Amino acid sequence: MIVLKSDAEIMAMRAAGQLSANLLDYLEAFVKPGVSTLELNDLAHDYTIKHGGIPAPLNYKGFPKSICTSVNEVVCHGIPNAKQKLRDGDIINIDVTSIVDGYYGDTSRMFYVGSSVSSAAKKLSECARISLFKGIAAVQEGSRTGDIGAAIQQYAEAQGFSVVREFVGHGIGRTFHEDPQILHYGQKGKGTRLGAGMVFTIEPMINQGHWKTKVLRDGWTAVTIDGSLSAQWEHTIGILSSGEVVILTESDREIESRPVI
Amino acid sequence: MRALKKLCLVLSINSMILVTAATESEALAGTVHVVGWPAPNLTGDTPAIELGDDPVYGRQMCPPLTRLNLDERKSEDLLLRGLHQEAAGGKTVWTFDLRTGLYWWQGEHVTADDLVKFLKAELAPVISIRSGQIWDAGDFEVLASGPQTVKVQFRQKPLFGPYILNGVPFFRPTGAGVDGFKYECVGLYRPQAASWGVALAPTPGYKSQRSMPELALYAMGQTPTSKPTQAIHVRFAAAVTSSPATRPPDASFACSHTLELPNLLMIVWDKRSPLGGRTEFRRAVSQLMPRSALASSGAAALAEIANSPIPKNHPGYDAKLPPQGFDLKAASVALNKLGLKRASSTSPRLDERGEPIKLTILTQSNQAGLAEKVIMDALSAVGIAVEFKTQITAGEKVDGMLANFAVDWPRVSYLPYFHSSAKLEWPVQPVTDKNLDRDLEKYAISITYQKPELGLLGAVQRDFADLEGVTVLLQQKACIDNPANFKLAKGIISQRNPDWFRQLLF
Repeated sequence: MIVLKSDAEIMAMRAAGQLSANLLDYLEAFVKPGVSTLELNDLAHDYTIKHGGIPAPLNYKGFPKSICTSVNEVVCHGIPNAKQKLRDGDIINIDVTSIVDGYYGDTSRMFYVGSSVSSAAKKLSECARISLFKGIAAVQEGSRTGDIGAAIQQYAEAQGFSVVREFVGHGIGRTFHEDPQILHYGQKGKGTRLGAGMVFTIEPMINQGHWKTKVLRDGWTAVTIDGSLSAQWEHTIGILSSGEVVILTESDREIESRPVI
Repeated sequence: MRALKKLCLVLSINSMILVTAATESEALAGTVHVVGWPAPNLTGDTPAIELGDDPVYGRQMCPPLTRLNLDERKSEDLLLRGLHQEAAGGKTVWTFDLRTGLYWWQGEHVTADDLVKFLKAELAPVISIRSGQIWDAGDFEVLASGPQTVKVQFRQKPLFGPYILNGVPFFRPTGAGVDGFKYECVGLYRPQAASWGVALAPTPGYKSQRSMPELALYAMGQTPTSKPTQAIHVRFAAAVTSSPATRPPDASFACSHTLELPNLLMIVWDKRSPLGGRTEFRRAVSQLMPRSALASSGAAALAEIANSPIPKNHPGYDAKLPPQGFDLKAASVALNKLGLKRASSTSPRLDERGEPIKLTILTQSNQAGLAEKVIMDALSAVGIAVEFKTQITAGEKVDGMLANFAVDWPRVSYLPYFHSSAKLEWPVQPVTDKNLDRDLEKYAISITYQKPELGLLGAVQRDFADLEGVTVLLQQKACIDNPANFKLAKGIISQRNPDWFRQLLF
């Protein structure tokens, strides 16, 4: 069941989205060689609490930490830990979700660790970012979820990359995961029709190699099946009654550096 | 002339607030919807004790003889013209002087005999617990000494004062029942239960004397289908716990009129719990609670952080007591000192037997509630697991209970709950202490007099802080919407003012 939101509710969700976006801005300065993913988690947790939010991932279905940190071949849901220290040349996705005023705001970005990140890794990350905005551009009242997936898949595969199938975007609101599911691949004109009041995430995971993934023994960490790099960017977006599409998880800094698509 | 005389009598009942209301009430005749205020418990043989002080329901339906007025910092007469205490012939005598022109719901005049029966019943030892007291009234006689006057003679001076019945609804049993009720009161309105809430119609005795609107009091979650003359909407924060009060999805998030509620979200610890029974452990848990995050994330502007069971808006609240801040490091150190250690920042914390610590907390709401999540998050940050249960079997023990505690307002007497001789049917046994007993008693006695020492509540507050037997998280607020029709000035709604609701209406 898709829970439609009023314009007032969608705009209220911006508070959660802004906190999540600002959190990622804040964390950027700490992403450097030698820093453990647990340190990033603790910084994120404290920042969220101090700014009046609640980190949603912590204890969500047993997830043990407040953010997801997915490094290199990890596709998503990487669990922060003290032993995992970032190394020069790594790429990392940090996925955060804050709860403010009872609403969830879900977003993630890629970060480069140090100064030795390969151009191939940068190309992959940039492809994931542009894929996200290709997907957002496909959203309009009356279009379908398949339009989003098709736009992402077409672009990513044209760059020589693959789109992960096992993990998808999702509706979001007063609960973390709602309908509809947003596949990041598919056919134009297929899927659920999009309309005013819908709020959902688009979060394409793009792999350097094969799109298949596997989940590690911890039950959470998903990695590429072939050990290739993976990258992901994510925003929460809403469709207002006027048909206007709003990105709820963009910081001021991000707005200034939106990709031209 | 007769009508004018009757009008004056009605006004005398409400002389404190209604002197200027006659012309305004003409404009209000019709139906006023009140949407979202918690429904009262109207069933049973007697009106519920909280009804007498409820600003929305109580004053209209079942007013008390006297009440505690926190705005005025005194006990005051409501249905009485006077209440006096004197010593005569070695006995203590209380004289109750009833107002004239009082009517029962069915329209009969209230007599001194009615008051005699009421006082005999309410001052009896067992029933007097209804007023939140635990003392025996001893031997006493109740006699009518005039058409409106009743005297109560005590063989020995009682521990408490003549305002012991502050807030207790004045009622009489009706046997066969009136509109389904086994009692009747003397309010300007009489209730009729409806599927959507309670309909209040003017009591026959008062009806012909002034223009009074009908009141339709819709319970939380009920939506009116008819169009009212005017309406008041009350909204509560919903996201903190999964209470039935839900914030309307299309609601504006601006709230021009907030009402501080004496409702506290708190963990009541069980003194029998191996860990919850230890003061230092409870204090460490309190330091782990991110109250401000919970207030803003779960309740928007409709709650504020709290760390004392004394509501902040009570005049007896001691604002100088240091608040319990969020301090993860201090909490970890305190837990280590207790011998509750963990091998690493990712391993579980162990008790003295080397077993991973797991607390069990009883909660009324489901486990998806935000408060439950925040508590779980906070404790997992120091390696302590928490299991929330909504039900337990007989004899099953829990470490604490998470509850939205509706404080006995305006008395704020915790005597029936946290005194060591209180008889509770709670699933937890609260932490008690002889200092707390003493201070609870002193304060509770004080508020049975005309000039209560509300500052005595500060000592109770300090005792609670010393014991940390309850970990208080939030004090809730309500939002009053659409009062524009009532020409309400911003900020006028204060729970200290026992007539705030009537001032919206009249």
